[in-house]
Amino acid sequence: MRVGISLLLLLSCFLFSFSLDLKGVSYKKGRGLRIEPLRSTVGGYITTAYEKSESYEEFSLDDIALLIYGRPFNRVRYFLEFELNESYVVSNGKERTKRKIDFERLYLDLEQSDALKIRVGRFITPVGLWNPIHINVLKWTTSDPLTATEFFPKFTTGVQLFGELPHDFSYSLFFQNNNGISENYNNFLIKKLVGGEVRKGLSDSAKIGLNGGWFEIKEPKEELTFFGLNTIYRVPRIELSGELMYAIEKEKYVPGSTLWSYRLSYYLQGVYRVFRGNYAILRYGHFKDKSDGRDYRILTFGWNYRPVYYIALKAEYQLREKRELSRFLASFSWMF
Amino acid sequence: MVLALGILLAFWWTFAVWGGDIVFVVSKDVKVENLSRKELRKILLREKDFIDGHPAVPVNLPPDNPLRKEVEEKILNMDEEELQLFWNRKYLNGIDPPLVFASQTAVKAFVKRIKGAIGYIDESQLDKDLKVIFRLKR
Repeated sequence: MRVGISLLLLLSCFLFSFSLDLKGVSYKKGRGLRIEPLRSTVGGYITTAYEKSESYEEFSLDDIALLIYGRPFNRVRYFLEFELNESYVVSNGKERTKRKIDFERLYLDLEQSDALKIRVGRFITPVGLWNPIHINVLKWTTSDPLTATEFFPKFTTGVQLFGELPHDFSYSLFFQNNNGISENYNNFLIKKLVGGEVRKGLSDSAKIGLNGGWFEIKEPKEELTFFGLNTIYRVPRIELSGELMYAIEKEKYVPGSTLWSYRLSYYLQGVYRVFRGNYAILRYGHFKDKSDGRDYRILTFGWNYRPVYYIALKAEYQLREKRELSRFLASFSWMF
Repeated sequence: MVLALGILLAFWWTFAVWGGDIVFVVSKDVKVENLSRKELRKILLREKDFIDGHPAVPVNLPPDNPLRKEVEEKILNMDEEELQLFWNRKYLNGIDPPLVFASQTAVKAFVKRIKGAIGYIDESQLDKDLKVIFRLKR
């Protein structure tokens, strides 16, 4: 509780420090407080979200996150982000609060060269287009496509090797063989993970990526081997993107017996800047999991309004085949 | 006399209004002779972190500076709003945008002092302590 109050006090200091300009310390809206003598920046973001479907309604203070990062030495970077997640939620009229602070990211980068950088700690799993930008304020819509939530852990606690290669290739390799930091604050509870992604820049505007990996879920006992393909094309006013993920599931619920299954998902998304700060989003996604029979087709219509670059207001409607699953989502997020 | 004045005026117009090429410069001690537009773009967007083994430190002119506008359009190939969204993503991943200096003189002074610093100026501002590694024709 005390930690939460301290965090909120710290946040308040930032919110009221817009005009702060001490020697070597400067604040810029949406870009954090730069502390030059420490070669560090302190900032964060806040998100609130609303969801309404036929039988469910929820309002949540989704994220209050504080981040501190810097480059204390020429070849060393650090990044720390902790947050109060879903600290206040009202679902179908019932209130609940959570006072737990989780580490979203906590890592150290050692930079040998552009071709070889090493990251150690808890970091966002560098797979696909959507997962690396999963923070609400950066996303086009409040909801995530299922390619980003059902195929690999959002976070890894381990080691990542990454870098830029000739001919506009880049790569990431990641490994985990231990319990995770804030391990319950992840979409899968895992202990072992290995994977990688290769990306190729086709031009200033277009990129293509190929990924794959394997991980073991602690409970229920299950292994997933995943493969993915993604591409993005971005020019002023327009962004087109798509991802495809496929995973082979090895379920070991009953000792001595193994069940094999698969899951598949893809989405195609178009974003169009209608006028300054206003974006229309159309996304079609399909998800199928043979093991439990889930089969969703989701058409999302969204609007993203950015009155200034550090604030995003979003609204979307998800149309599903089963009408009771269709829902409206909205969110407000603010970087400071 | 009138013709000579006309020619002079034409020269003044050409160089004062349109300026020379925009040149990207590093300290003369940096052992890099030139960069491709792609490499330069990556450095400005902080996607390439090293130049001649030194940490690359790109520097910018203020947002309303005409040289910067031209660099954003012709090198980065992004408009202002796109760039803001791009730096949002970078910020929340621990990367700050390039430092901003108020004038070309300040850019030159910084580039001379810091190995790995890279800035852009009008070619008329060049001096012997700077090395041109990319030229943006105007």
